[in-house]
Amino acid sequence: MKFLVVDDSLTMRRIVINTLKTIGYAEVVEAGDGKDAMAKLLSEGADFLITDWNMPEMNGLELTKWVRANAQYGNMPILMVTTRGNKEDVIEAMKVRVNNYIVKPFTAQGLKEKIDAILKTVETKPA
Amino acid sequence: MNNVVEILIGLVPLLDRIKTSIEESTGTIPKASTQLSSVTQATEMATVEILNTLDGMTERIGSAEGGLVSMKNDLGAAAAPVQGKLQEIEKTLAETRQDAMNIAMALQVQDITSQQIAGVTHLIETVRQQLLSVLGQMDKDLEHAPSPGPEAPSGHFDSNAQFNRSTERQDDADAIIQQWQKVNHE
Repeated sequence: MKFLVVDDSLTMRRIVINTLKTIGYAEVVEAGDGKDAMAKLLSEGADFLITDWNMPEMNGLELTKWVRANAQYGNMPILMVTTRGNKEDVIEAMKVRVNNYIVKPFTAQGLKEKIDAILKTVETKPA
Repeated sequence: MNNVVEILIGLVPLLDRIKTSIEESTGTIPKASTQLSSVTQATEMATVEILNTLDGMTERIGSAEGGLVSMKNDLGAAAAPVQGKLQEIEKTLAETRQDAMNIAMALQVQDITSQQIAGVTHLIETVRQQLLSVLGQMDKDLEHAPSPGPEAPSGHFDSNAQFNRSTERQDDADAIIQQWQKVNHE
């Protein structure tokens, strides 16, 4: 499974990617903002999107809206990983149809659980 | 009437001092913003160096673990007398791997503090813009006043970001998601 990790913080991209490798996902593409992510998705493809919210150029919410409207990637699993933990923020993210939501700082176990839960839902959802 | 004139005459140097003070403050703020930005860059560079070191450590731990397995296989039954010692080494390697992972995860603090710093930078830039506006009202001839500069971006950071190890915020988010999914039958 190929992951696309989107975060404007190089530190966070490294941490997420290292964690993914630790839990068994070695194939990863990275992007520094939403626009970069769009380009990477179209050129390199991915099966699972992990995105930050606050980013320059195009934020995680806008990226999610774009992905959901895309014919090829509209059903792609999306996990938002962000510092924003207010109720309104979580609802806003759910409205644009992220599959799940992690509040930073996260743990490796927390990330694994969210990915597993999303994949389980995607697998069990009727086509 | 004389008193009013005296007060007004006294106000002129006071206004001049206020104007000078505002000019000095607005001139200093960009330097403060630049310094804050360099703090973020420096901490990011240092954090990446630490992450690189941790990657190297984790790789070497993996090699040591692999070597240990090969050694046990090679020794076969002959490893029995040192079995306890080998298990201890395995345990130490596993604990060291976990420590490296914990250090890496704790480095999320760099992203969180950089967002807080970006929030402060945005705040002081807003103050600078307001001071410049006051300065413009005080002195229509703005030739000597500092330029307004580009508007600070506000959507790239979360000024309320916090490095909080408590699971409370995640638990709250999970409860909202669960409720949302229930209502929307997802």
